[in-house]
Amino acid sequence: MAAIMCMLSACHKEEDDIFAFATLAITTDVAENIERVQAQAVFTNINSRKVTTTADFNGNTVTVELLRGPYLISIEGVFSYHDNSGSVVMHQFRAQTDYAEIMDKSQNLITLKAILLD
Amino acid sequence: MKKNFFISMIAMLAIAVSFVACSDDDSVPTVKDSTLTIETPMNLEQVVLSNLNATITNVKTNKAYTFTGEQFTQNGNDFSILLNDVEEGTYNVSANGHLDFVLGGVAGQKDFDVKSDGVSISRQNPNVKVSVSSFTAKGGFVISEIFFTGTTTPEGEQYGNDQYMVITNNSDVTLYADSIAVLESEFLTIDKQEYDPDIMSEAFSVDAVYMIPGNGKSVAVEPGKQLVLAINAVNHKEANANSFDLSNADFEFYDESSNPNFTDPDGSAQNLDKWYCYTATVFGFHNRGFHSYAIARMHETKENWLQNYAYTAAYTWTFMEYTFDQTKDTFKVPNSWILDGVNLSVESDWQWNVLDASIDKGWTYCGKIDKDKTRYNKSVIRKTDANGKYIDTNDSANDFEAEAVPSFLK
Amino acid sequence: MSRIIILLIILSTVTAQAQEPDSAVVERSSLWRATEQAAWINPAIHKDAFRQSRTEISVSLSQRNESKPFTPELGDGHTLPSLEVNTFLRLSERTSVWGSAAYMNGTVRNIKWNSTSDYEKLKPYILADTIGGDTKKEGYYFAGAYATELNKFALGAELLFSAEHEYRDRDPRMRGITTDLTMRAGAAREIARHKLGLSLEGNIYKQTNNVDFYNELGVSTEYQMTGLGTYYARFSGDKRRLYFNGGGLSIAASALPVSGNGLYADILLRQRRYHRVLADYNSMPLTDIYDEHIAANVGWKRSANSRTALFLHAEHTRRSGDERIGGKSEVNSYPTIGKLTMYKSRFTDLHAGAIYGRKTWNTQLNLGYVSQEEQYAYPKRELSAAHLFALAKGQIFLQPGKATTLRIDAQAAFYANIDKKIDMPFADLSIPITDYVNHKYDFTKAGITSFGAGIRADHKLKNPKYAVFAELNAATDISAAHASRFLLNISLGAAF
Repeated sequence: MAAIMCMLSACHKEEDDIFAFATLAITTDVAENIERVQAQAVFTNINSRKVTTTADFNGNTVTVELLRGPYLISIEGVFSYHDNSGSVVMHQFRAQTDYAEIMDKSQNLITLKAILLD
Repeated sequence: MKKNFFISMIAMLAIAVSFVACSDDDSVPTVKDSTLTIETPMNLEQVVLSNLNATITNVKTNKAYTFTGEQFTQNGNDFSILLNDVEEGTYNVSANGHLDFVLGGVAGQKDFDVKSDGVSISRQNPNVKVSVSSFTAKGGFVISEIFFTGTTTPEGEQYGNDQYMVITNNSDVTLYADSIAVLESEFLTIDKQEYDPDIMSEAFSVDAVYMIPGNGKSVAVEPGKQLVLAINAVNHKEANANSFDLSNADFEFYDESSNPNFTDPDGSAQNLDKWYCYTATVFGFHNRGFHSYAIARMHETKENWLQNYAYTAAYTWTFMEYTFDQTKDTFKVPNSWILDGVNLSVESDWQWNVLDASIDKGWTYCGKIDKDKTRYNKSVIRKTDANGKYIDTNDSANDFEAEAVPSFLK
Repeated sequence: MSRIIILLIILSTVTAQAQEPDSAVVERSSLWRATEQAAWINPAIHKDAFRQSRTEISVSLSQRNESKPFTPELGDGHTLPSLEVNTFLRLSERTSVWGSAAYMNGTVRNIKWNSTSDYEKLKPYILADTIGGDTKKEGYYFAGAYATELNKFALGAELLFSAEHEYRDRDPRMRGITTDLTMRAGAAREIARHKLGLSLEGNIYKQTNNVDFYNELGVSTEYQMTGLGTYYARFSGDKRRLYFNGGGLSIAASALPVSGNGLYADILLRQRRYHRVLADYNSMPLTDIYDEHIAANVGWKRSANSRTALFLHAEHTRRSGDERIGGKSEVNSYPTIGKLTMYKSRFTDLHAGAIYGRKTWNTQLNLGYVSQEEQYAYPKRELSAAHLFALAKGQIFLQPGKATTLRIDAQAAFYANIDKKIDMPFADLSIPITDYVNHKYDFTKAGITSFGAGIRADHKLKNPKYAVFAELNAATDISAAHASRFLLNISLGAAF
């Protein structure tokens, strides 16, 4: 009976893979490699307006599991790196995108360039 | 037969119901050794956190756990607390408090309120971290107005005693103005010379330094608030009906003149601490706008600065076909100490900027020509953006409104 | 107690004097017909539903009052008068035609959290606001069918059409205009002393839905609801023009004993899908709801001096809802970049029953289990409840006079909650949404005690071809959520 129903009306294929991982990477023109980022990254789902925040950076990246969809991402904080002379340099920064699609079921990489505030 | 059929159907139904009707209690496991960490920006120094309140609220049960500052342990710029036996689940985390800190040599303070919603606490992921946003504190002070032309009397005479400068805290934190000094350039923007050594890329050559006194936290300036530094903090309407009252200025430039014929009235405002001035009498801003001005955080004591920051600039002065080797004994303030600077000149005579381009790559003015009669009663005022913040692109040609109505005349 | 005794004495007296009730009335309203009614969805089976032709014209009133809304989206009451014509004509032993036409115009009161018509069909993907109000409802309903025997096959076709207009004449001024067309075709054949039937059904549904505000002071937010208090935030607010389209297919099969005695079974599979589309933004699809329903009966019956039937009923409905993910706006339209199945609901009804009757009376007892469950994927929300129930019905046909047939019904039911669960992110819910989900949970898990009674009198006129009738049915449901509901249906009509 189910087979007949499916043939007749094309049974609904549920999309239960609703989450995806997003990795946010911060880059800058003033350094090749940012060694540490200290910031709160805010992911706002454009459709549901639900906000997810994380401060769990590893180096210059942070990975978070999100509901698949389009996001507004903003981040403000401090990053540090060693300059050519070996000194630690810190900069306050802000970065934002008003549209990033987190749709790939496996991994989504978003790179944002830091705007220096100091 | 029908009886057996009915009984067997009832039995099947009962079995089916028994499978679905029974449900175990949903007991929620607890997480041991979970920590909540509040990160403050790593570029802050001497961080002191006070009035801290942190709350984690279980989204499902609405049960809230509240913690106060004494329960937190400080580790560098991070503040942590161990959460005992918290139920697994999704939590909303919020923390608010007060930070005192030093950033780039500038003391500051800031109330913060940080939130993180939908945070999962589980046995696999027991730790929660929230990060207090950084905020602009360094270089927060800007020169927002220089009234250097003076006013005119009803008789049309110039009246230059009512000059003033306004500096504003353009950041979003309360800053302390102690040890901020007003600097006047040694060199003139209408007289370019090849000075040796040419230190402009590293330091600002100055002929006047007047510093806001204090113990480091004496002069608190809230975000958006300003300090009026008057040449003379008196009510100038008494001497000039076209002038205004500066008796409520925050500070004044006071000089103990060596010439009893040229004395400086000691107005009601607190006096700036005079470190150096080229004149032995009374200081005032160049009323045609040939000098440049800056504000700097002095990182030395007066004595050390006077001893270690003097230098001699040599140059060749040329007059027609004659040349003369000249020297000028002056002082310098490192560009790294400078918080903000403004080049002033006039279009007809401008030759060069005497502040490094990294501090100001343009210049602004009142008057188009030397001794321009129309320059009086005008000021240079920094523009503001849509959010009410002063624009500071380090280009006074862009950042300032030239020949503006002075704020005290509005 | 004395009143009950008096009533029983009257009934027994009347029974003793009873003659045969009007068979046309009996065959249309006997509880015994429950053993076949599910199979009548097949027009080829429905052909033989009644032996007697009959046409009825009636004026009816349906009244519902609830002390607290059992389902806020359906309001706390209605007053729905209607004019109806129903006919079933046996043109010959082999051919029957039947049909109906009805017009309804009434009021539904105090609807909350719903600005869309046909809530039961489209839930949870509706437009809603926190204000609500009364609505006026007008509907036209037509049905017609024809079935006949060709060689050894019975073939039948049926068409049902309805058009409804629901609206509110004060802010927020909702308006829903719906059309619903169903076409059925079926076949049946006698094999091994059973009439085996198979039918197919297709349905097409449309609704245009909008909310307007005339108040100069402003508008309120209209929410694109997505289940269990969630809503599609990006397109909620001032997007108040929608349309719905959808429909689906059904297939039904049945086996009825030709003699009326023996094993019987029927099964129905129905699939529906409804799409919610924003009229703005170049007809942007927002959500899709998929409804899959299966219902089956299997039983045994025997009719001789007495009538006995034993049956088992199983029914399961599964709804799942997809939210379309809107991408980046391009020239006032939003592409769909994906979809997520965020909403699921399940309904199960399992019960066993028995019918026993003699000449002029019938009784029925059902014992069973119902469960309902709704889930929203993220942030996770869940609401479920299960009940055991017992339902008892009694019915008696009397003929107090030569030309008068009286039918008296009574029923009682009891639903006892045996399981319940609510899982909501209460800390994130606004107060109106918290009240809404808590109300929904209270009524979903509540036990219910129901009582009902009905009486119908048919009186043949001097020309026995014609009759007049009056019917009154009343029921009350008492919910453990401290609320009660009263239902009243009155009909007055003529039959021929």
